[in-house]
Amino acid sequence: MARSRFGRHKKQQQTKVEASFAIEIFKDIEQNIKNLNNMLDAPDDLMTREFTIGHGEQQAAIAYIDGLVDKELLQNNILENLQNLSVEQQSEEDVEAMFDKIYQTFISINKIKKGTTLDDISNGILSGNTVFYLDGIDAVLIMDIKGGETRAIEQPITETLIRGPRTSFVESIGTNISLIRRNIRAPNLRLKTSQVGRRSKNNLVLAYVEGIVNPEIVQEVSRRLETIDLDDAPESGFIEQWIEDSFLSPFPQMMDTERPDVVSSSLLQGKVAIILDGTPFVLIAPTTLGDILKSPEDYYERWLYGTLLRVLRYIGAFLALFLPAIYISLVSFHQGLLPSKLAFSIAASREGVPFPAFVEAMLMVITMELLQEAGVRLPTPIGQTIGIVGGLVIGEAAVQAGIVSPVMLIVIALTAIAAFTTPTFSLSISLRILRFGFMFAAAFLGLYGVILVYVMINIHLVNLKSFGVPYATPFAPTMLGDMKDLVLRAPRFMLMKRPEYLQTEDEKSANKGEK
Amino acid sequence: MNKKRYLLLLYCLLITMLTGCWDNVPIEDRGFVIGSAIDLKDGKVDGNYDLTLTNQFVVPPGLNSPMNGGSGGKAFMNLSGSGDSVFAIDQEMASLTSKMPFFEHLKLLVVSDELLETPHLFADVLDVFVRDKEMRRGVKVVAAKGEAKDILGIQPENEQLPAVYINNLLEVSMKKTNLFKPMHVGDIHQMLLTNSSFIIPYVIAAKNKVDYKGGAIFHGYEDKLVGFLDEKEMTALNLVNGDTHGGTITFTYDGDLITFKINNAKSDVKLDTKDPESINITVDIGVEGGIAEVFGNKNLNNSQTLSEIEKEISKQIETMTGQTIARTQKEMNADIFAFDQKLNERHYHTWQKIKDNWDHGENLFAKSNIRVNAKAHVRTAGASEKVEGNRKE
Amino acid sequence: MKWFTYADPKIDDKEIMIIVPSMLIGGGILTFPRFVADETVGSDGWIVILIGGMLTLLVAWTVAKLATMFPNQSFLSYASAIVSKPVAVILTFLLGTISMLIASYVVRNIANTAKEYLFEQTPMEVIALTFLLVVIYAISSSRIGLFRLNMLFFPFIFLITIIIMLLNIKWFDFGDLLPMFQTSFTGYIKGTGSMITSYVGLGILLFYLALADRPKRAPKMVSIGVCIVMFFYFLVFITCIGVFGHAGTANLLNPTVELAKQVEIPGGIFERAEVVFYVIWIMAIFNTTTMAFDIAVLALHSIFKKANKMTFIFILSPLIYLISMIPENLVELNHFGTFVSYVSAGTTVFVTILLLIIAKIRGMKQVE
Repeated sequence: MARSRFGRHKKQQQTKVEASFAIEIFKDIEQNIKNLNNMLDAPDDLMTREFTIGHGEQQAAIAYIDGLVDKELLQNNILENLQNLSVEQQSEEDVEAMFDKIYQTFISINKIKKGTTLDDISNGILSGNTVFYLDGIDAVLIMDIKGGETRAIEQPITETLIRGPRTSFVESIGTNISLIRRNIRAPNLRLKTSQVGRRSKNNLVLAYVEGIVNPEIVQEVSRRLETIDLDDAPESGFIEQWIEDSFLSPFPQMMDTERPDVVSSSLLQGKVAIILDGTPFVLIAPTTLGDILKSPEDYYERWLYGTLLRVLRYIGAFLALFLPAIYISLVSFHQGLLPSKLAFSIAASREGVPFPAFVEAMLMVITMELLQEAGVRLPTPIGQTIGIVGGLVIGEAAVQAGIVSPVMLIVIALTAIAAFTTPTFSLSISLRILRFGFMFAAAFLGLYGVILVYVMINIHLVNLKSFGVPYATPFAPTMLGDMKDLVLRAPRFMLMKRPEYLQTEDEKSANKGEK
Repeated sequence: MNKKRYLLLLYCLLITMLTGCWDNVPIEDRGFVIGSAIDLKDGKVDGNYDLTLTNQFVVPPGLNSPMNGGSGGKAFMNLSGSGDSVFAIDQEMASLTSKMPFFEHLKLLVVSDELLETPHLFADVLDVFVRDKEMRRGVKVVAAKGEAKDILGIQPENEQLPAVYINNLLEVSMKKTNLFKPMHVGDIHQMLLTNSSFIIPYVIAAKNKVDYKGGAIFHGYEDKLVGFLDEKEMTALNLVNGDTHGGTITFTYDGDLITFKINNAKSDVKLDTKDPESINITVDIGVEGGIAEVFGNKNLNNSQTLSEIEKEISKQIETMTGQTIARTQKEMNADIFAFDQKLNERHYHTWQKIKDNWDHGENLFAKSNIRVNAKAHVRTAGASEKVEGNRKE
Repeated sequence: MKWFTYADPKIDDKEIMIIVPSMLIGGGILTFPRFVADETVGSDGWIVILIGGMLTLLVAWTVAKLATMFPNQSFLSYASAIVSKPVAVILTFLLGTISMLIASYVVRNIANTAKEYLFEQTPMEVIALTFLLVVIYAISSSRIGLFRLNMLFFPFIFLITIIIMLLNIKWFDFGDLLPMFQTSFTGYIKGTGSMITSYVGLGILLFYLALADRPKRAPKMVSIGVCIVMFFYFLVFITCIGVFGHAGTANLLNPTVELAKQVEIPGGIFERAEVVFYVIWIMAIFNTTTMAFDIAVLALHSIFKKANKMTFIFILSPLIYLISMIPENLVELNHFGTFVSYVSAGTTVFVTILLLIIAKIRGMKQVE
């Protein structure tokens, strides 16, 4: 009962909102302002300023939301100009002429447009524009003087580098786009704006470089973006989850980043970026497994160091995935695989531990996850303390109490460290999830189970696609040309081509010795 | 379609989980056997030999690890059992230790000379060490004088586990001197398959160490121990086989005792099979080394003295190898120099004809003429010419 | 641009090349040195491997030629064109059935060896079932995925084998390779006979080449694939002989695994490399099984076009499982394996030659 009533209620509200949007603008200014007030339910932050212009006979008004506009601009470039206006008007034609004159000459705002429906007005006001009403005209001027408080550009928090630009995206889409523009001055950088969110009306920009990107990818991304129909998209994660290829996959099928340099280099490789207003995280598609294990620093540093970093990261990913599972299978199934001395010392250290290796490992992995979560939630200084307290004190105490063996502690600590080497947070989450799968398999069938789960993950990977691009490429389907920038990072002069798997229109990204 | 696929994945996971874990044995419940010793009790019981198997179990907490500072207990435990099947005794032992014997870390197998002397018994006993999947082919085998289990009972001072002590001893010797050439189960298996004769390191237990007594010769065809080589003869054997980088030759030159240290030896075997009834075998041995010790005060640093010394060394080698070969031909009739293998490799057809009369039947091995030519090179005479000035004559 | 069209079923040159080793290198690689050494003297087995390989090369090339005479046509459709529809259906059904038998043999084989090297108590049924379930998961996904899995797994298998070989150099005794060329003629014949069982599975090409992206290059790629297998077998065999000697090789149950058993990994990370080797080798066996199973599904699907692919998977999986559980012990399993191998090799050769000859007689030209 309750459910159905709720459903009906929802439906009614929806129709009401939609209906009210189609109202035309009247000529009578009083009526218009009343309508606006009615629609928004006369909120406190809705500012309407009525005044007269010319020789004191012509009624006019502006309306805006306090806090969304730049007040200085409003004062200097709009109000002052309007109040100093001196135009003679007698007839109705004069009013229209005056409206045009105001539109063309008097308002010194660079972005201005005419609106004819209440819908335009409310959209304009609610996204930070100011609306100008003139009595006797059934249209309004919508002036963009967006302002208000925004965050300054800071250093990226989630993707820190030793060498590389220190800028990070912010919540304002305008700033973010300008950051990309500053990196790519090519005239064919395309930014297609649309709005998402039935109610939030959030701005979304699809960015790509024409002439590089494969048009099929742009088409496919746009097609999927058009299907988005939800109330609100406060974060790019909403978009990601709506348009991704497989919702059951543990792997991220799009990359998210807050670094403008990552976005611009991806665009130049032939990918597309999805920028959403209100979040510093920009989505990059399509993405492959190899891509999310790359960090921009691999390219900023010289190639030897870059290669070392890559290899380390692959080892890190391997350890983060397999280490606890391998430990469990070695300790509970294949003791013969351990070197004799190690086997004896593990046996000695496990003497007196009450749990089987699997339970012991689970305990420690869960503890580690808890610590990690607690460290994220707490303010930074306390968060660090939690890490130290948890890592050292709990670990030490657990060993002393004989609940876990010291070797297990080493294994888990190593796993945790290895997981932090993945450059993309979303991938490190997938690794953490899959790790549990491997641990279960190891507890039941030892290394045989581990390899079967590994095979299963591979089956999943070769069937997964990110916007039509096979996720496991260039491993499979094998692209030998792309292999030199995968686990290894070849010297700069060898990386002359854009990734083959993106099937870009312009294949070469650099030319050797040609000028 | 897609949905079905993921349901399938779910089944996979569920089944894997529901199957349970039959083979999950915690590491602390394993009884690691690190060394085994097999002795023969007197007489036969019910037509089968009565064997005594001693297993050395590791007691992990007793091992001195830096972490727990050592609990002071013994690091190993020797258990013995008797019966006629090695595997059956192993299984029986499980009831004695509360832990399942686990052989994947087995390093050493000791067999008594008595057992080796019994025809066919060694091959029978070895079967389980080749057949069982827990066993490795790299397990080292030594022969013991007297009771084999005494070897596992020694108390070495630098190692906690006797089996590991002997294992390391053999390994170091293999890398450094090659005196004690370790024999692995896999090697022995290969030898037994081709009925070849071979040498097993022969040791005797002392209180806190084992003494190396040379090698025990196992005759491939007769399938039993037929004799022993002492240390000097082992050096000779290694020289003939050309796989040594250690060992010394002591001789007198001009009334003074000189010790020559072998650094490297190469040998080249030439086989002449024109007359299968009496095969001519020529072994050329090239030895490189240095003078390690000189009694008396000769200056060796002149080419004439050195070449004379080299001649002396060559002569020494020829005599000692000659004696050894003669002894194996006459006394044991066991081809431990792998001439049979070389015949098979290089004179396949002749070998096919004579292989049943090599070290048995017509005893062609004993009848063959074996000549040794040695050539020694002294590469260095040491850092000092002499220790003291001229001596009073 | 070809990939952005979804679920593109075409396979490119590299994938065709890898299909052959992925299918051929299966259970055989563990045991073949024993069979070969049994019949030959010294290291002469390599000649047998070469002869077997050459015969296989011939068959593979012929199969590829036949398949590429009719580019991008399924086996059933070109077989129908050559020898009427009913005969073609029978042939397809025959090949599908044999493929299914291969799959069950391989499943059972992996369960057996897993029990030998990894488990003690775990029932064979469970080992086989878990493996088969993963195989089913792979097959129920896209077909192109199987070829990509081949590409993913093959380097692992290749690398681990090479590593094992390299680590065995320490034990390698060149003397064991002698004597050479002493095997009698009948020995070579017998050796080749048993070697052929390790070169089985080319029948899948009859079906898969229909999906080739550039069919004209297929014969070449397939031949390279066979050469890879030959090289692989050659390497393994020579190492076995060099390390265990001829008598040792002929007496070990799984000489290749024993090679891994012998290895001491430098630095001593693992004491027993054979488990690592075996575990990696599961991937090889997995590729063989998925393709054999998939061909069975593909054959049935091409006969009964209307039914869903999943239906065949659900019908065939219990069958494969049950058949794989029939042999009671290792000896029966080996008989089963030999039987399947010979039948499969025979059928492939027979069908290929039959179709080729009839096509020639009826004057069918290569379709461009």
